[in-house]
Amino acid sequence: MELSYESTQFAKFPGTFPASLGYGPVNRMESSPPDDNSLAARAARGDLASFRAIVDRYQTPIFRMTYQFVNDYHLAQDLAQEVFVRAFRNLGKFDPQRGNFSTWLYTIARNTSCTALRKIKPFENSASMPEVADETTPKSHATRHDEFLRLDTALANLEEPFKSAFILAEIEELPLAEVAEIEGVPVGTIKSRVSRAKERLRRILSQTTDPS
Amino acid sequence: MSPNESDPLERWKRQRREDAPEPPESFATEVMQLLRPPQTRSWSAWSLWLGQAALFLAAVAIGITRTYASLFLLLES
Repeated sequence: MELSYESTQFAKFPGTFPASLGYGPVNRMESSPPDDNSLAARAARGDLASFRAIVDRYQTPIFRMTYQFVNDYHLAQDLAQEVFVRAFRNLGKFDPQRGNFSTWLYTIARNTSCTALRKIKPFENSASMPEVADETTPKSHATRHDEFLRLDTALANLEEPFKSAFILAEIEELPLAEVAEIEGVPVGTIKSRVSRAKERLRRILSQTTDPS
Repeated sequence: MSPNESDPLERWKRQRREDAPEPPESFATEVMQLLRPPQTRSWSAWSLWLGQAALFLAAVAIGITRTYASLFLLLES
């Protein structure tokens, strides 16, 4: 079924889904929007309106997640777009029996972000990285304390498994079980990685505050 | 002040969460444009293309004919 992009705008308003897409009068009466799995199944069959609904639903968490990884507004935007494009192309591989759609999408976001960070690694050690990011961030960081900047840099310089676990579990506050699923390791490993990441960050913090 | 508020690491984490920007309003539209299938040629585009091809072939045919005619006249004289 061919759909114009203008017609996909209705995906933002679940109550207005047209009957031609299978949203009959019964569904119009329901207040709950279609769940992720049914949207993903329709999108996998080429229904762009359903995929638009997925993008509308997840654009903010995915964008914020990629931002936490790269700390750069424009790069985060590019990566978040890439996440959705990759998701769309791989919708056929999503198996609802194996996990939640959101976890599957977060896994793509995590992998896309980590791949991008590996490419920009040579510049990552630069102490000016947070300041560069500040220029493109809408909210001013003028009041941010120096120790926050040092923590930003320290987080950027953590090894990938520790950084990823810390961002997902501590900053994004995803449940540990979901982080474990995204990372493909046991929950205990995630706890250990988060603990070690916090330990290193606290060490950086103590160096900041301790003049000796 | 709660214990978390006095912990700089916790304050930094909260600050990072709060400072994380929202995607631009055009984000979803841009994503959908990236998924847009390649445009198929419209009838007008096809007819324009065919017209240009016909003109090119006619020009080639005229050129060949004139060349042969010139050669023929040269040989005849």
